[in-house]
Amino acid sequence: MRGGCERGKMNKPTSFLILLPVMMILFFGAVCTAVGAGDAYTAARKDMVLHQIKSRGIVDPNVVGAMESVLRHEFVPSPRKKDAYTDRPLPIGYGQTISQPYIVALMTQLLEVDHDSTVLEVGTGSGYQAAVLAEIVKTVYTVEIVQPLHARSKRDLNRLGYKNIKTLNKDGYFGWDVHAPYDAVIVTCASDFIPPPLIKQLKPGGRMCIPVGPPFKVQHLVLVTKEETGEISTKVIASVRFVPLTRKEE
Amino acid sequence: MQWHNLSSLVITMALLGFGVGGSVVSILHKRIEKKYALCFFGTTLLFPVFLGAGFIISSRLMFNPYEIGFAPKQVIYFFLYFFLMGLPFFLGGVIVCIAFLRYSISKTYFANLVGSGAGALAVVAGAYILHPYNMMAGIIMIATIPAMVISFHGKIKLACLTGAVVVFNLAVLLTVFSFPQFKKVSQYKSISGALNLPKADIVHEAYSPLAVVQVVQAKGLRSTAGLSLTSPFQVPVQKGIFLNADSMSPITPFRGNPDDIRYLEYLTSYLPFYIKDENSRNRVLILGSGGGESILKSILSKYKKIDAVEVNPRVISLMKNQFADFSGNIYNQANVQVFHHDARSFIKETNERYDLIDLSMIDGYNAAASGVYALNESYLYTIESIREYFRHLGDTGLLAISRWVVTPARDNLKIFNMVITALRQEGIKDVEKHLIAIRSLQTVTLLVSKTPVPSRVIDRTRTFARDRLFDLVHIPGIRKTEVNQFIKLETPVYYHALQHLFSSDPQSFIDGYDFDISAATDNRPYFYNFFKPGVIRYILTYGPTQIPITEWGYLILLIILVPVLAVSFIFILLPLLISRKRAKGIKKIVFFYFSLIAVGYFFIEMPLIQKMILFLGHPSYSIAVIITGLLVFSGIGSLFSDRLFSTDKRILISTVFICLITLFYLWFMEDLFSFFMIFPVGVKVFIVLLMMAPLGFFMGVPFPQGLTAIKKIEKEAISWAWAVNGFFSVISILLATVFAVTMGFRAVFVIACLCYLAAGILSLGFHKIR
Repeated sequence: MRGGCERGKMNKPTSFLILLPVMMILFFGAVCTAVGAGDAYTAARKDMVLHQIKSRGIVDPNVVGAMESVLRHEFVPSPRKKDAYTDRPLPIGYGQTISQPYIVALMTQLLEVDHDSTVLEVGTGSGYQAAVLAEIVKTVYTVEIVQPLHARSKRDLNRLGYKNIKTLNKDGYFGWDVHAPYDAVIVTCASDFIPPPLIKQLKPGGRMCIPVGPPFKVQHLVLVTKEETGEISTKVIASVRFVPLTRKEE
Repeated sequence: MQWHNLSSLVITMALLGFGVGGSVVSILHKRIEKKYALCFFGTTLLFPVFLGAGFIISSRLMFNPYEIGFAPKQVIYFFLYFFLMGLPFFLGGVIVCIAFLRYSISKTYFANLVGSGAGALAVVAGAYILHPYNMMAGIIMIATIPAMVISFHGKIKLACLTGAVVVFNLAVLLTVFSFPQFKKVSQYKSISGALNLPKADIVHEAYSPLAVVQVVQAKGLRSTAGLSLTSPFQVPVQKGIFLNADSMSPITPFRGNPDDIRYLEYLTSYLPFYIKDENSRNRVLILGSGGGESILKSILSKYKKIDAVEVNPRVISLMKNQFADFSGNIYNQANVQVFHHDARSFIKETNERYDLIDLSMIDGYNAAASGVYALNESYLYTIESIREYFRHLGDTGLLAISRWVVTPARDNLKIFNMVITALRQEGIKDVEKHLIAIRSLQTVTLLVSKTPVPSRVIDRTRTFARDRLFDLVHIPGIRKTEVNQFIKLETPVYYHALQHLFSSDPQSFIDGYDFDISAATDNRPYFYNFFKPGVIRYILTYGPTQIPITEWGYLILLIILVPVLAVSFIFILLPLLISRKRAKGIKKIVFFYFSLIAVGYFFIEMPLIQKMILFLGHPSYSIAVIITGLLVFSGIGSLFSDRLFSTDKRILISTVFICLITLFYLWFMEDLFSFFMIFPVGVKVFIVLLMMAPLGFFMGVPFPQGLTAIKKIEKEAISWAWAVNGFFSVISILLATVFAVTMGFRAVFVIACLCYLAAGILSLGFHKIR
């Protein structure tokens, strides 16, 4: 029966009238969920800065500002996004972690960098530390030995619009000598010694922050300072632990 | 799969499982009697199934002891481990107790003990040729044999069921062999981290009872402890030898060009090679040569004769064969002699005097930092061992000990204390004139000089440290302004500690320090245990996240003790208390007798295992030989116990013999060790088995004879006796270790003798009651 209603079927205008509000509800629901999630992340980030960063003595306004700005959850794999702003490292695959927010802030503050600085990062990992630095400094050069991590972090940093971060897939032991010397060097993976090439690539007056200790175990967070005269001194800041939290295939 | 301090819990789990099994049988024994064949066969059939399932599930658990302090799920994993590993032992207990119901106690006990002893020995033999996982698969297959044997005597249905089990186990075998991921070790062990590097692969694997040895190659794998910031030389990509998936020892590529390994000159551990005059670099002894880093240092510093001692034959073999070319053939060089020995036996055996004895980074960082080895005996670092090293130094010889920096400082302080104590015992008064210590970011190197350090050596040390930005910790005549210059610590803790230890009252410093830095001795060889109540204060101050980087090894024993006590009580004693199966007439005497012989047995067995490590050279040998010896000879003792002495005094006389033999060993063991120390391991094993024969024989008498005695008085008391014995066996294992750590072995042996004597006297009561 044309134009009428068959049993169990609806004509097009009727079904459209029903489908339209359903689609609108779904659309606005999705938008609200996304906005809500965004709000939740924003709130979590503010909470993180207040309770994990400022309360522990991170006072450099540039660092605090960067920690507030960078969307940490964008660097955390999907299943762990809800934990992105918790006070702990999180697995990102290949036996690597995204460091605890406080450690990222502490290491950044220890570098004493500003808008004119160029920084070398060894161990790009998720790219989060590079992003935090990129909010403060002129250019961040970052090296990652694990190819899939390098590819992923490069993609994420491009997606998020970080133009002042240059990435390279290479053994971090040798640094990135083409762009040396650097105002600061930050190493975010463990080593049981400080690679000599990294010291060479540090400018006089520059600072290096590195977790030192046997690979895969407890490390000391060490600040290395290269004086204007070229003299080097080191200070043990704290004991830290970069726990491998995941298997390679995760 | 996991760390071996957890494997020490296996005995506890085994006894707990056995105890619970006994309780279950005693409660259900009337029902079991009605369907005896089915129950006997059913439990025998389930045994291999539980064994395989427990093994596979536990191998997939993401357990990480380091996270226990801040991840509650790890506690659950830990107890799940305990449960999964305990289930097969529970079934074992059930099977043995069901057998007791129908068969002679003495003969069943004999068969059980001899079988257990043979199994312990077979596992050690199998470890030479099989990967532990493959060996486990073999054990599961063997565990199906009893069910097959029983099914041949039963009905066709039972044979079918056995067939099913065989199929199940074949599946287990196929799984283990076919899917390499089942062979994965804990992801938190060092090897897992190395295997995450690009192009990482295990290029060599070998087995022995001492360890599973794996060699990993990977892009970017480099390890050298404490390289100076000023090193102009690069560290090449190395290969890593991993022992039991942890404790990496690097193999450095070497083609004979000294420039390729010149980075070694920029390690704190190179100081002893650097400061000696070239004309006195004649003979060096390297204890724990591993991947050969110290041999390379000796070659670089042009030592004429290099003696290297390595305890693991597989490591020697791979360095001499598969990786000889890669490592520059250093193990095969004409001036290098490699000895397959443990350090203590070698130093006891040799008459040589050395210009340098080097113990450089001999154990992994894990051992130093985590407390994993807190309950492991180490005869490498005791006052007696340091005195022996010292005595083997030539006139101007140096003893060098390099170790990781551990925060909070403890193990290096313990070494300082032990060296100072040992030197004072050697009659040296001006100890501070014999010591040099420097530190880098990651390492501390301590040198002990046979004679007071000459001024030119002091000057060279200053130059060496300054050029490399290493900090001086001590040189004779050091000024306070010279310390903590380059690698700034909040306080110069190492310097301060040495000043206190040099003083006339070092004990107040040792007592007041938060960690146990008191000297380890051969009687209390727990170098790696730093736990004392101050540690709890430290953890409370800095939070539970500090547990993994402090001292969880001993703490975990104390923490385990509480739930183990509770579980043992709930599952062993409580069911019997509730079901009123206690033998009312003789309940007190049964309780005290069977608790005393349980404590006595394990207070002899546990310290014997610990003590024999020194003699046999490795815990694996000691555990296998002592367990095998005691079980087999106890089994024989049990078998012949019905014919020994007069019935009423059988137990008392046996316990007197146990005490006499134990006390004889306590007094003369050191002399026996000294005399036979130089013999090969095979001879030593034979000697230990001879020593165990009379002791084990008499230790096998009290339990079956006690059961036989009470069986005649009140049959129901057997289950109560079994439960009491099981309960006290479980806690004795843990208490024996606690007492050994706190009081030393001698005290534990004496307690054991007192327990046996008391039990012997109590046994007279059985006959009076009857």
